[in-house]
Amino acid sequence: MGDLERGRAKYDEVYGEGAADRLLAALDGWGSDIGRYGVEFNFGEIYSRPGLDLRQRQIASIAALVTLGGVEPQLTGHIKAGLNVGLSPTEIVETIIHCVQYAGFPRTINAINVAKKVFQERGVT
Amino acid sequence: MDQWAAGDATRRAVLGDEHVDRAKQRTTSFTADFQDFITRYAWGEIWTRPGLDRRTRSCVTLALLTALGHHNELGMHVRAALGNGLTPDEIKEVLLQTGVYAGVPAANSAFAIAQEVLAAEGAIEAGGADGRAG
Repeated sequence: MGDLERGRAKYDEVYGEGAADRLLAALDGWGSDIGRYGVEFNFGEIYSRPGLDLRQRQIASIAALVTLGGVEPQLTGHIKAGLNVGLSPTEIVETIIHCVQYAGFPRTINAINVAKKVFQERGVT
Repeated sequence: MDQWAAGDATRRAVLGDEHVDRAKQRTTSFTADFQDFITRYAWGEIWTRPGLDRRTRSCVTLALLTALGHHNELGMHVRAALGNGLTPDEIKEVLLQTGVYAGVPAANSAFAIAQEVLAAEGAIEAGGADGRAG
């Protein structure tokens, strides 16, 4: 069984105080079950497991999202999350660049542009 | 060191001499340009960059190959990940983490392949008939 409360705490650890409640409020109505699954299972279970720290988990997540392509809103969120848990801009950019040889240029260029935008918003140089 | 030599050295450090020698033996006039290209580009440039260590590059590679569903390459890179210092537990966590983004079928296939490779390498216990998960 997933753990909603542990998920809420882990989500807030990554995205900031009250972030899980804001996500759940944004995904209300027909979206409420998918929002709950994200917090309960992704964060209450997977992100809460030992074995990899939050920095390594964000690196794996960013690699998967860059490669999937077409998920720029989620990639934006996870690049912010990467910065939040202590990844350096270089580590984030290198993770994206590493994908180019496997996933090709189009997805990687889109991902770099997402990272540039996040860094600009955060004042990261 | 030139780009080709740096690439060949990195490729051998990550995939092993046996793999690279076999790839060279199998190279034909049809595939030679491709072998040259990946040695200089994928291995001589990208894998040789500073900024991420090889363990982390292995994490990235396992996640993206799982998401792409490139199963032959995934098996090769599970073996490489062990060589780069990832433990079976860390490999397991990367596949679990990727499963929530790329979907459970992608992770299921990846687990079957990693189970087989890690057992063959003696890093974990062997599975059932073909080591496949549900």
